Amino acid sequence: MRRVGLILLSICAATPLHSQWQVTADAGAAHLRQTGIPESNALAMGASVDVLGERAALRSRLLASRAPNERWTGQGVLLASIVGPNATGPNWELSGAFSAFGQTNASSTTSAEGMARLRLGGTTLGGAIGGGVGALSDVSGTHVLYSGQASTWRTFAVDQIVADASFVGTVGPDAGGGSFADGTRYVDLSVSWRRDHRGIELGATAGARAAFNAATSGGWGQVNVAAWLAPNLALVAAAGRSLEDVPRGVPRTQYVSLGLRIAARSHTSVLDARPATSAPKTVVTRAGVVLRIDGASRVELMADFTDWAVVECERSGGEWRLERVVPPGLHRIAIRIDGGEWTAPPGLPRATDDLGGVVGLITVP
Amino acid sequence: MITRAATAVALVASLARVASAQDTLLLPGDRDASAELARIVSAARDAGLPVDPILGKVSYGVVVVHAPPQRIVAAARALAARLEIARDALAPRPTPGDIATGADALEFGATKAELRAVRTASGDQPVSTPLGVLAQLVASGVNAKRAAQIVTDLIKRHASTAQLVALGADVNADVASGAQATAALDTRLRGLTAVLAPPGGVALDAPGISATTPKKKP
Repeated sequence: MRRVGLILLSICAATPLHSQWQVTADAGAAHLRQTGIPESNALAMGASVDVLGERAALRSRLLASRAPNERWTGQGVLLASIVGPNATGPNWELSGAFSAFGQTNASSTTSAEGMARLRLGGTTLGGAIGGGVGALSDVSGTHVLYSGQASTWRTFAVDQIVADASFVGTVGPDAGGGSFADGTRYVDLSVSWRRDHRGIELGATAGARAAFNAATSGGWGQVNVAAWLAPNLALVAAAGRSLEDVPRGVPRTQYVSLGLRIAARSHTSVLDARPATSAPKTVVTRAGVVLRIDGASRVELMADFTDWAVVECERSGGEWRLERVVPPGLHRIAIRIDGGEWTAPPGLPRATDDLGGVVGLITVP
Repeated sequence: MITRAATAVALVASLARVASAQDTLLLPGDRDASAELARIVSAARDAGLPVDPILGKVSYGVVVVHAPPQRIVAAARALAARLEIARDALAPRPTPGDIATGADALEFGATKAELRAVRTASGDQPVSTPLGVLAQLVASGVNAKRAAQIVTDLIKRHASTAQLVALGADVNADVASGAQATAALDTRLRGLTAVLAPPGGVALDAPGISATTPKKKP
């Protein structure tokens, strides 16, 4: 296999206050199908290294597969990004990517791109728009790459959804060896979903391509799951259908894979993930208080938002409720059950203040 | 209970009138302590600090704890000092709610530097929610410095207020179930940070990686 080369990009990054890093290695088997090529089973290996700083990130991926006929395929991608200083509000982002794809007895493809984006919003809801330019080198010569991208994302408790639209085009040397001529152009639309909860990572993507000039239209999709059996070991499975990735030189592929992942940093495993908790015993919202207390015949409450007047809660099934406007912020609450001692409501941290009183603390957003 | 409720209502009403007329005793039965409290409240108001927290503390001390008057005066004086520290830490333009919650966080173990870190991370956004979560975590047993690092890091990763509050509630529930506070925080944090962007919100995903069979030379 031709050696896959990687060039380390030197980046100027702000000193990270809380850097995060992760190294993973995957090994497993894959069943592959490519148009015009016989189906085959292959041994697949992968590795990733991510270093995430406060304003900069470096991500790398390596993947290699070995088919039974001793034919190897290797691919690598290196991404570096840096963002502006704004903690909130619009923010710029500059990124660079280098990729290489090589295979036994075949020419290799390398590409390099630079992209600039404007990011708006935050992690919960946000978007970005930008464009880039680069170069792609393959057996037919060197091509100019240009691209545009618009993305939007939304994060829920443990789910994240990303919608993406991108435009990719190439300009390559014409058949006569003279000036550059139009090459491939296509537009991709995709939606991705990701969840990481209680030791299980799930992901799915669906997309469609409208192609012009020398490219093929069609749809693609993939699903993947990683089950963390131990803090540093996961069982991973994936299946999907991908179209040509022109900037990377990767052809259209259908695949099913199964393997193991080893991670340097621990992840919550399915075994030590906290079981689905029963509904919280004390819930305080802007509309009032709900308490789950079994075996009580009377529940009284006082709090800063009652001006420390004692109020009686109303029973509603297995719950005790108080309808009261509660302003956002930190609040102190105490309850008394069946005329007993005043104490913090169940599930809230007990705080003893400088007057010797014991209350529960709760923050209302 | 009726007597207590009536006392609370009457006390709050009298405390509210302090702002305009300082002839009402804040601590019924102790004129000297009441006068001292009135001076504390007046000084805080003149300094531009919110006085509702002080009045609430007095009400709490009288109605709930039945603390001795001098102890209530000491608590009110200490709270006024914390309010000033919180306002200074949360400058340049903290809201009254920010100042009050900051004073609460100081009471439960946070430091001025940690309040300042939360302000810096939040920009000009209100900070009462992250400070409230900070106070909750510290009250749950999490080391104050660690709790402040977590809260500021989550703010920089654009965690929503709902996510911050949910983290605090989950840690509280785990501690109530017997977990160590710091371990509970670490476990809950992994789940939350898995769906948050890195600080600064850098983009994800290296596209286009797949295992393929060889492409033949033309």
